[in-house]
Amino acid sequence: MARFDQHMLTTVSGEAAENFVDAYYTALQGSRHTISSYYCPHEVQTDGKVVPAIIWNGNLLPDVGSFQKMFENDMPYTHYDVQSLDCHVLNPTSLAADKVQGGSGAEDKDIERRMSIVVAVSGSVRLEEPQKGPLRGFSETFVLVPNPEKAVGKGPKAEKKGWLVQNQNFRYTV
Amino acid sequence: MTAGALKRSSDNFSHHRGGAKRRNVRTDRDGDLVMDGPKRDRVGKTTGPGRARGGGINTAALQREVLKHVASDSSQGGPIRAAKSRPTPQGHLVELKVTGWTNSKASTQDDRGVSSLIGFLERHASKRGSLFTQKGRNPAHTTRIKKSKVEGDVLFIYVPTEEVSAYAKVDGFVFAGKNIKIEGASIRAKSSPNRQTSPEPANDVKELFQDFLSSRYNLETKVLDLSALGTDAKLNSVGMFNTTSTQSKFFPALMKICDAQFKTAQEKKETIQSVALAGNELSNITAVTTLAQTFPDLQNLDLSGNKFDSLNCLIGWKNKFRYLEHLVLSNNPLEQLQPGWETEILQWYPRLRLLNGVQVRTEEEVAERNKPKKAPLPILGPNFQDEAQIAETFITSFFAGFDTDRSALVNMYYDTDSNFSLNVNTHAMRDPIQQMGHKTQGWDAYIRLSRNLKHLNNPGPRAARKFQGPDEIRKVWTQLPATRHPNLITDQQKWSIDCQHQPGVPDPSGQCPTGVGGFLITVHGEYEELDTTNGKATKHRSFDRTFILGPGGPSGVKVVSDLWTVRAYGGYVAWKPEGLQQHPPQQETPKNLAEEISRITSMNIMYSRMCLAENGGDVQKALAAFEAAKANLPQDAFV
Repeated sequence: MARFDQHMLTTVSGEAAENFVDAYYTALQGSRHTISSYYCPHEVQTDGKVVPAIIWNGNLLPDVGSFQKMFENDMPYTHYDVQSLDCHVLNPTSLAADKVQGGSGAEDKDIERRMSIVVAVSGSVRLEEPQKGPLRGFSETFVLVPNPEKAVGKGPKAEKKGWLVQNQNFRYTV
Repeated sequence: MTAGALKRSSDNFSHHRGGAKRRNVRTDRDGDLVMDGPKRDRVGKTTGPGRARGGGINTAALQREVLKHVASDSSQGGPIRAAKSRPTPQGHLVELKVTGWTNSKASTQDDRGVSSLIGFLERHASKRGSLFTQKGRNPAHTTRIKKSKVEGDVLFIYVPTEEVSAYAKVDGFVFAGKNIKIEGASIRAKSSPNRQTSPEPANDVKELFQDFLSSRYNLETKVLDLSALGTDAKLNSVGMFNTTSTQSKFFPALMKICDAQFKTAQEKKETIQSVALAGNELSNITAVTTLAQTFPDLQNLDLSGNKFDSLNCLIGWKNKFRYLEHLVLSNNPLEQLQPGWETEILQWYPRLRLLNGVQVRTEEEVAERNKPKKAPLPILGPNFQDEAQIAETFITSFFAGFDTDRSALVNMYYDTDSNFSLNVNTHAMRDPIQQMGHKTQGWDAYIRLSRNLKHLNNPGPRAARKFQGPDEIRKVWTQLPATRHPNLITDQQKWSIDCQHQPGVPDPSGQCPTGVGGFLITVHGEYEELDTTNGKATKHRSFDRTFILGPGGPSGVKVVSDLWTVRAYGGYVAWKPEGLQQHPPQQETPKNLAEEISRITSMNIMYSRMCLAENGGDVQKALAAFEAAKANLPQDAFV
């Protein structure tokens, strides 16, 4: 990993984590019908493993659709307050060079569009009703992978989400 | 209108009905107050959008404002009557003039009914001190007319200064079939603006408001009846609704003064359970919105006979009044104009049982609705998708090593591409059971290393607080306090450890740049900080730790990423499995169930526990899962 621009990795991963967390928890609260759009496409990998994988308080959700439905139909009001956030670059070349839309195709280039990121969040969530509902502490880990649909440069495809959830684990901690 | 709505109300609003009735009686006796009489300018009517006042209420300014208008009204309007009473020679006594009694049924008595009248005045004035205090609760306070004389049709009475306001309230009462009139220098007449410049204008308005509140409050029923404010003779007599300025300020000021009567929220809640705002020509709640702030715990609210044409007119009160049980909205245009409004308003008020006197929820439904909600999925124990015990072995050796020999641990699991950082969540919730209060946590040992991106904005520190490779990680670990984590087996309830497959972790061989399979492990738990000189625990913390494991390192397994969140102690009930509670017949503890599975399957206790946890604590499911997977289980899984 040392062969890549460490400054760029830190800057890009940090901004990606912040933007993701802001948008994602807002969606959980106010636009639950968009939840699925934060996840990578459902895929059964060659070893039989399924992504995206979502574990919620020990429950493995079968797919993102079920997770979105749970929030749309059964989850009371939620308001998330992220109190701490940290992230690391997991794999700088998570997306193959030739899969970067509008990229150079070179193995050591376009790293800012190819890295996967592990994000750790800790905070509190207000449940059921604003201000007065019960408050819980939570911890959540995401692995974000680059969205291959997002193109380099300008245009509608460059406006797409840069990173999508591949792996997720949520727990109430208090 | 109001009475009709209230008549349909059920028992729950009987308080309210009583209140309205009581006031009706008085209203009927009082020629000046006609509830359904011709409407004058009203609070709501001229308070259009844009008149909404933000922020707090400046009572002093309001009082000046009100007085200014009142004063200008009397100078422009009707004739100012000179005070007919004169200063009394008795010093503290004030002379009041009582008229309108001469043709009463009592006039046949020897003294033309004067002694009966004096008794009547004393009796009623005694009941009317200031709001909520003297009235009702301390009925022992009595007032006496010190001196009286009759001149023609006028009875002059002399009463102490402080009791004048109590006598003023008897003005307009019916004595033996006749409305009596009470006038005096310090009494504002109900029928005509007759004021003199008061030396203490602020107190004057305050007193007016207090008197008004007192006359509209019923102690027995705990109803504050603010119906038909626009036709209130007392308020109109001081020109309260003559200008839009005083109109818009009237209600907030009234609420402010009302609020000031109570020392605690509890006292307020117990004293005023119901408010009626019926018949106020309100088309929205802008003018009266402060009701929700002043009385958040209100149980009954009557808004009947207003001009609300949709629930949007009431939107500011959505999700307010969390204890509202009965709402009356009858005789508002919205009943016709917004079909289905009943369904929507039910969503606004979780404890609403009666709507327009009709039961809309049973008490059981309300109780069910307001009990703490269950999560849509139960909290389950560890979801630990290990392979060949790689993750289990790592966890066991990691926390033992972190407590005893961090340097050796670094050598074992961290290589040049391994990343470590820690972050402090200084705002984390504390253990709700222990209620340790705001005990200082003392983050000195961590805070300079904390990589909390919520607080750390510059790329420089962000880069500097991420540690890469064994040397950097070893160095920072030696700076951190010594720790003691609970035992993973005997104190397993203090841990929550999930493990899931993680694709795309870096391949150290370089064969596969997009990565290979690894693990994502998320750990929640606690530890004690130790004083290394004596081995004693100094601090109790909670933590969350995320590991990404991948191939590499001397053991074949390495830490790719290690993210450590340190926070105040938060206990461990949050991840206590709920699965068992869903099967009440099963009385066994999880430990016993795991032992039972171990006995049947010959799996070791660790595997038995994981098997049980993965199947929601259900023994039958766990056994079925075991049967399905036993061919693939490693040798180590068995005893």
